[in-house]
Amino acid sequence: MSIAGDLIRGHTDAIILARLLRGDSYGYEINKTISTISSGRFELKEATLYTAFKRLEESGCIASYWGDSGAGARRRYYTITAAGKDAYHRLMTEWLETKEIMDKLLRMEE
Amino acid sequence: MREQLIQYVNLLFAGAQGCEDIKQEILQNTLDRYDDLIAEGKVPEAAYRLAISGIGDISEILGTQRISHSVNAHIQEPETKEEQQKQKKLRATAIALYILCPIPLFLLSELGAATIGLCGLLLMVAIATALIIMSSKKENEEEKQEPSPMTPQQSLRKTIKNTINVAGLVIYLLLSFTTHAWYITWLVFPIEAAIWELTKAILDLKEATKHEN
Repeated sequence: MSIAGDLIRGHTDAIILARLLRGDSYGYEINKTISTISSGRFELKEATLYTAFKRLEESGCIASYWGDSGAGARRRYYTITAAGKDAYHRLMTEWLETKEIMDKLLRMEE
Repeated sequence: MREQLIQYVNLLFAGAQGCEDIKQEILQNTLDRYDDLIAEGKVPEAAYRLAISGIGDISEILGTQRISHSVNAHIQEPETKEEQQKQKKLRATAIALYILCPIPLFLLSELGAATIGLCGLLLMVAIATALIIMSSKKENEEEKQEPSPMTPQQSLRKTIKNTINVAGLVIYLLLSFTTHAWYITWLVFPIEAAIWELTKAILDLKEATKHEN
C-alpha cells in the first residue's frame, strides 16, 4: 500500500461511525465500501475492524444484533447509537481541524 | 478451498475461550470475501490466500487476556526483585557468619574457656547454614510457581548445582573432621560458590554459541 495506511487506520473509529450513519451494516460490507470508496487503495484487516467494533460497542457508540443473510448464514449487524452520532460529529470536527492544520503545515508558501 | 478456509479460521481460534461470537463473525466475513473473490474470477488458491491475509493479526482480538497477564507480570516483577534482594542478604549474612565463626573460639580460648568458644563457633555455623537453607528454599518455591516445564538445559543445570552443593558439604565435613581445622575449612563454601558461578558461565557461553549457530 503506497498511501499512508497508518494515518487512515488511526481514524478507524470515525470511518466506521460514518458508514453506520448511513444505515446498519456488517463487517465485510463496511470493509467492502471502504475499499470501493478508496478505489481499492485502502482496506482494513478483519482483526483491526473487530477490535474497533468491540471498542465502539464497549463505549456505547454502536450496538450489535444477529441477523440472517440471504444465504442462511448468521451475520452480526451493527447500528449506531445516539452517543455514537455525537462521537461522529466530534471526530469529524477534530478531523477538519487536523486537516486544516496539516494543510497549512505542509504547504510551501506562507 | 472453502472448507479449508473454515478449518483455517477454526484453527485460528482454537483454544480461545469466549470468542465464539467473534469467530463466527470473522468466519462469515472471510467466507463472504472468498466468495466475492471467486466471483471476480480469482482461482480458488489465490482467493484462499487473499481471504486469509485479509484477517490480519488476530492476537489484537484475543489479546485482552494476554495483556492483562503481562500487566500482572509487571506488577509481580518488583516483588520477585525484592525477594532476590532478600535472598542475597540472607546469603551474605550466612557467609559473614562462616567467616567470623572462629572469633569466639579464639577469644574464649585466650580466657581458658575453649569449650564454650567451640560451642559459639558451632552455633554461628548452624545459624549460617540455616540462613543458606532458608534462602535456597525460597528459590525452590519460585521455581514451583513457574508452570513451564524445565528445558533439558535447565534440568542439567539443576543437577550440576545439586551435585556441587552436596560435594561441597561432604568435602567440608571430611576436611573438618580429619584436620580439625574448623577455623579455615569453611573456605570450601565460597570455593563451591565460585565453582558453580564458573560452571554457569561456561554453560551460558555454550548455549549462546549454540543459538548463534
